[in-house]
Amino acid sequence: MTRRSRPRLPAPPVRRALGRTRVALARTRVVLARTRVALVRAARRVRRPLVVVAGMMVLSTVLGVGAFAASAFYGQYGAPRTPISVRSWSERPVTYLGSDCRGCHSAVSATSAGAPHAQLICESCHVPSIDHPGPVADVVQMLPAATDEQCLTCHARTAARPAAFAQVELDRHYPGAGCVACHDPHTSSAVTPREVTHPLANLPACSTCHAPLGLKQFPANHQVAPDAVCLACHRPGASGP
Amino acid sequence: MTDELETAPPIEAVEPAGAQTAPPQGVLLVPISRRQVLQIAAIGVPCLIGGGAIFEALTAVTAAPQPEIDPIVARYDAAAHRWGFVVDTVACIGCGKCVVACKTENGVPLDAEHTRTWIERRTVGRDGTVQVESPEAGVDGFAHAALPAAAADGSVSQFVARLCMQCELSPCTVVCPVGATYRTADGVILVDEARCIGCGYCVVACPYGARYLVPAGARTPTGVAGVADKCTFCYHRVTRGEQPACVEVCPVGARKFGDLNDPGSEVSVILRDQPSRVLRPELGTRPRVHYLGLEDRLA
Repeated sequence: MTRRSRPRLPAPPVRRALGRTRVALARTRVVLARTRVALVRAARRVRRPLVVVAGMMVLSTVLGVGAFAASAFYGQYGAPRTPISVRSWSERPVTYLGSDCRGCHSAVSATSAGAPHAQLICESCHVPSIDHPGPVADVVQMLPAATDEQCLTCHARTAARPAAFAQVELDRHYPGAGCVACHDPHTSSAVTPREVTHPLANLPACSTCHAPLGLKQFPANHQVAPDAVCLACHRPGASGP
Repeated sequence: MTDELETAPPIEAVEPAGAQTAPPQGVLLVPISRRQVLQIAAIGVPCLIGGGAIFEALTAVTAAPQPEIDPIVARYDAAAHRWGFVVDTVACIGCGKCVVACKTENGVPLDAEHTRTWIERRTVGRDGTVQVESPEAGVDGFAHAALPAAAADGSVSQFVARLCMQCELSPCTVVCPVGATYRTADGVILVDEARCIGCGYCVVACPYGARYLVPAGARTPTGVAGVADKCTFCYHRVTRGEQPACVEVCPVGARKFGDLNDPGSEVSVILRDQPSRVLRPELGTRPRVHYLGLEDRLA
């Protein structure tokens, strides 16, 4: 502006001073321009790592969240399934609880001490005690229905059964009498039937004398029966098998 | 900044659009400089590490509100045990109570074809062959089962209780195509019913016939039909410190179970002091179920 408004002021010292000023201004402008370029470049240099770091953070988040979201699915159907399976097998409910019965059922406990059946747990013959004791209204059937069948499962004479184990011939050991008539399953002791010591020839029926109000012995747990039933157990002249 | 992109040849030049500029074999379509590789690695590795950290953090955060530890599994150290099983064929009376107990305890179907344990009566026949019978898997005992007609008079006859041998070198775990059957640290072989596809390979591969496929029905061990099932040594009882159900109910102590890592356990003492044998040792499966008193001809 000053240069153009005053073109005709050519005084040598002034012109020289003006020229120097002009040069200085030009140099300043160049320095400013260079500084600006340097600043822009520096800003670019600074901005790019920032962008990179921000991008890395976003990518890390995507990767991490994605892996986490996939891990549940992978854990359900993939390799880490095994501990879940082991745990599911371990946590299954127990049905046979072992021999805890005798704490309450002390009468049975007393009679069975030392008996051959004392080594059995109660649940071997009775049902598993998972539901016992249940609700009071819910009577749990602990006794098997077919008692004879329970005994014979173990004690019927069977091929391959060890000879030392107590076994009976089904058709020779008081057939039809019923095991518990003579044997207490808890003590497993047997009452040997009394022999018939008197002759049987020319006599009326057993129940003629052996009756609830008869003249001879008649245990309270017996019932009047035909002779064949009596003689099945009370064999004359033998102690029974 | 952009030096690499400027000096790198343009992508179009190396794409196989022009046949004359097709890249040589084995060279990437997009040329990538060492500097670019390093740059990608410098960015990618921290990204993966950061992703891993975020994954761990999310896992930790979501796992924190579920501190419930299973009371059984937490107390049970599988690696500390090595379970062994002994079947005393001399003592066994063939009553079948073990089969009943197994089916009751584990919800196994009641028929003979689907069973985890069963009792065989092995008899030497007149012609020297071994007759094997197992009526209804022996669940009702043998009281009403006559010897087979081919049995020789006075021939040797034995009850042989059968169950999964929990082999140390088990064919079933090898053949499973989906890894659904596996061996735990204590040696028991289990089946993951969630992974089993019911292909039946293991059923066929087992040389002891110990496996079956769970049929559809009210009584199933796992509630999943079509998957393989077999004896687990009553794993739920063992992890609680109890004996398997069949061992528990055996009236004559013919089945014994214990830890072979404990030199004082009953099975350890028996196997140390008495001669025993395993079934089909020639297969090299190294069963964990050992038999006492098994006759040579009946083994």
